[in-house]
Amino acid sequence: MALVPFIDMLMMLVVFLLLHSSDVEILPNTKQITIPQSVAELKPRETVVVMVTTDALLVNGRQIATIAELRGDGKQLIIEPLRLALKEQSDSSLRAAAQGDLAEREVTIMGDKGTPFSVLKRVMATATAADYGKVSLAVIQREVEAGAGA
Amino acid sequence: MASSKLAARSIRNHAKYKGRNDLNIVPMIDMMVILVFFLLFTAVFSNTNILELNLPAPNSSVPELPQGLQLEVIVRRNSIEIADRNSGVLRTLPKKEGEYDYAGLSEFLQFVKAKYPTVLAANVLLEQDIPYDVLVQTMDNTRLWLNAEGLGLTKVELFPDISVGDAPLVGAAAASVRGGK
Repeated sequence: MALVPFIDMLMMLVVFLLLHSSDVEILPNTKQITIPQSVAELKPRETVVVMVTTDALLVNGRQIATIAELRGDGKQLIIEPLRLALKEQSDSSLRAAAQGDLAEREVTIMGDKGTPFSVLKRVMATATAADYGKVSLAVIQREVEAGAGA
Repeated sequence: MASSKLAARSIRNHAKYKGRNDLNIVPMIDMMVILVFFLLFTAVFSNTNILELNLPAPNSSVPELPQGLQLEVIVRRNSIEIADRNSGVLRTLPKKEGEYDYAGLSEFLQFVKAKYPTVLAANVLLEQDIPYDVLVQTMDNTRLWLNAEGLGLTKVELFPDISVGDAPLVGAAAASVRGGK
């Protein structure tokens, strides 16, 4: 029957796509921001996600502040609305086991490539001030081929 | 009633498929096409990973400086400096054609690693308006050396315990600490 090769192709496609969608996506989609590439190999864990886009600051998808506001409020290091939002997250969404242990609390920062270090530093300082012991940076895996040089 | 209807349908089916001994695979193809489209739209083709940072706890006191090498990688607007906190700047790598010299950084860090094989910690210090991307690339080159020589690619660990901080100021304050630059 003429349909058999067609079914073969479909079957291969299905298997290929099934294999490639096997790893669960934890971090939210990053269409609006470009996050940097890196050779890091650590897999993301289930954590609170702070997203720094080009114009806003989001915690788990909820907008907390705009970058313009951050630039406006001068020299203070701690971003107060972010600190409150992180506190709230740690009270509600974290697993009960991690509640008490400060060092186990974790926050992942997804930043746009162009985010200046001054903003990033304030986000990190705020995360530490909100009793999160670990801070990680989200990156896109870079394909490195042999012979490309270090 | 019901049994006669069933019997009639059975007779009809027999008539319809008389002489055909292959399976009706059209519904299966329908399902597969739906599956393919579903998987295509949910597929993720970029892997997101994480880089772990080494941040001090908020209320920890300033730790006593250990003896030996205190490696600092200072990213400035126009250059990358590799320094030791105790002895000052070891090497300044200026930007090449508007890009930071990551290859030179990696090379010099390999040299430092060869001299101090037990040191694992490094501080990456940045000026205020350095973009995030530069931080990640610098961290990559400080953590690992991708050795492309020989068979395949080997990852050589350099200084995986990275802390992040502000770059020291250049100027009078820095000059007094570092004995001029």
